Amino acid sequence: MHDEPKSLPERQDCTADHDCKVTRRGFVMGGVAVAAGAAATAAALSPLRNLKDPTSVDELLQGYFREMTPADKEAVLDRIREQVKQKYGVRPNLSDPPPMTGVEFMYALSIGRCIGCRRCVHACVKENNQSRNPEIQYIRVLKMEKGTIDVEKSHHHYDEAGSQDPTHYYMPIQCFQCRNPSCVKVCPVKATWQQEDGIVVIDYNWCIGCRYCQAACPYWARRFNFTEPDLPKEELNPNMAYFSNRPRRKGVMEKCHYCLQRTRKGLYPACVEACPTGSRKFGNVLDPDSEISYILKNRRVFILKEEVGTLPRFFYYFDV
Amino acid sequence: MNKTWITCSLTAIVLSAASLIWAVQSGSAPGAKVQQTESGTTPLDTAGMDLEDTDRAKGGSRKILELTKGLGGFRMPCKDCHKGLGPAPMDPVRGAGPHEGIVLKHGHNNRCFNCHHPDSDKYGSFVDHDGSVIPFEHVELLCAKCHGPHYRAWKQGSHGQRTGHWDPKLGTQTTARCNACHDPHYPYFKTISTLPGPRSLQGEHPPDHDCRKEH
Repeated sequence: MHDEPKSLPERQDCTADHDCKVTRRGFVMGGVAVAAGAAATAAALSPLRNLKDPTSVDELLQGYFREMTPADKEAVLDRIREQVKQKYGVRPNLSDPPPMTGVEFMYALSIGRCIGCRRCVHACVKENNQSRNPEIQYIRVLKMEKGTIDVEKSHHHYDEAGSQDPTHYYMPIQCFQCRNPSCVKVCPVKATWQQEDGIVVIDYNWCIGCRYCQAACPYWARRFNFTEPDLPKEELNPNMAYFSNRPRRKGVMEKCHYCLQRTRKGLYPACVEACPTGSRKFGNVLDPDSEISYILKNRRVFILKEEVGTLPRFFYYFDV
Repeated sequence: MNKTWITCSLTAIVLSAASLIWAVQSGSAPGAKVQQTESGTTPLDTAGMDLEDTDRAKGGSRKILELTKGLGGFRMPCKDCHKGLGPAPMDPVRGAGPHEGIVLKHGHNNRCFNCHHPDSDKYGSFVDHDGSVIPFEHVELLCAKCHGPHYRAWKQGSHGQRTGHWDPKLGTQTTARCNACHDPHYPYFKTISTLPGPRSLQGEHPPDHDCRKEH
């Protein structure tokens, strides 16, 4: 007697009505799909394995600097010292100098004296560990025709032959550490802010590289690292501060910070030291005996783009 | 929804997350080694930028920079030669003998004895309007005879170069005296070199870069 052939178990859809069983076929097919997915993900991510100098988990998960305890901040500084030691072979003198009390920095530049020699530009590059290729320069010297203040007509790329030209005057620009800074207002993550002594600082670990600040600055003071900075080991300046001249990475903004690793210890910025004609003047405007107070009281001073209301802390003057 | 697919999706997500973390944290993966460099490399020459406070004095100080330019090659005090010489010829317009090499081109100031003291026992110092002595160490008082506004600005700091500390209470602030920058016999500045201008933010090509071959 032939039995009724048993029908193959039907594929059972999982519905609310009945329990579904994972069939052997389903399990194997599921496993294949998962393995293929995992392999595809790993293949897609494989270029990350060739990252030079990858971000450590600590750095990725670093919190907001202003909310850290002093112990956390010291841990961050230690991590950075280690990173610089590994990359450049020199253990840096890294600190986070706070703003000095009773100090507001201001800067004045004598247009009559500047000869456009660009020693300030290169002293700044040496002091602040900028990338050398591409070479980021915080200071830009504008060669302006005598008789006009229109910066749109200025020349930036004059060479040896075009320097110290008596028919032109030279006006260097850099970050003016404005009292009403537009860059601070537009940062979507508050990676840049103004400290009590007037310096506008950037936390390079918090910056997301959106460049809104660069768009907002009316003076084109901010620079962006389009590539990984190329800084030769022998040119590293090991005296660093967290908010100023520690080595940066690709994708973060940077700018002049009045050499706060020097100025918060009482020294002049590198550009003031380098100027051979003494046209750069820097100091504490809250001190009535400083040269900057004297200049602001006794000289004809002007600022750039007064109408945009940024209230820069950087003045141009004539020494007559 | 099919429980099989839920299980499989969750497993896929977990495995992807695991691969991501593995890929990022691959310190030991080949090709992601952090460059190990030798320690003890020669420190950069930071002379002038040293923050170790070697020039921090208690209470700080202001210092005057003494460099002298354009003395016509004379490096010894005047009295070394002018011992027992008689009075100088009155109102010379240019130096005689060893002083012939000095080129005096100082605008309207074309008489040696406008600045240098004519008395034979006071060579080496300068002369004020009334004939009194201005010592060599205070040459700025001599320049102030005619360049009063510059002297006033120099004293206040708006003229001339200052280096060191902006706050003299924290360290030495060095102010350059007049003849540290200005050659008193030939004060016109010569052109100095200009350093290179802005560079491309896309990086520099090497000199043998052949655009067509590379791109």
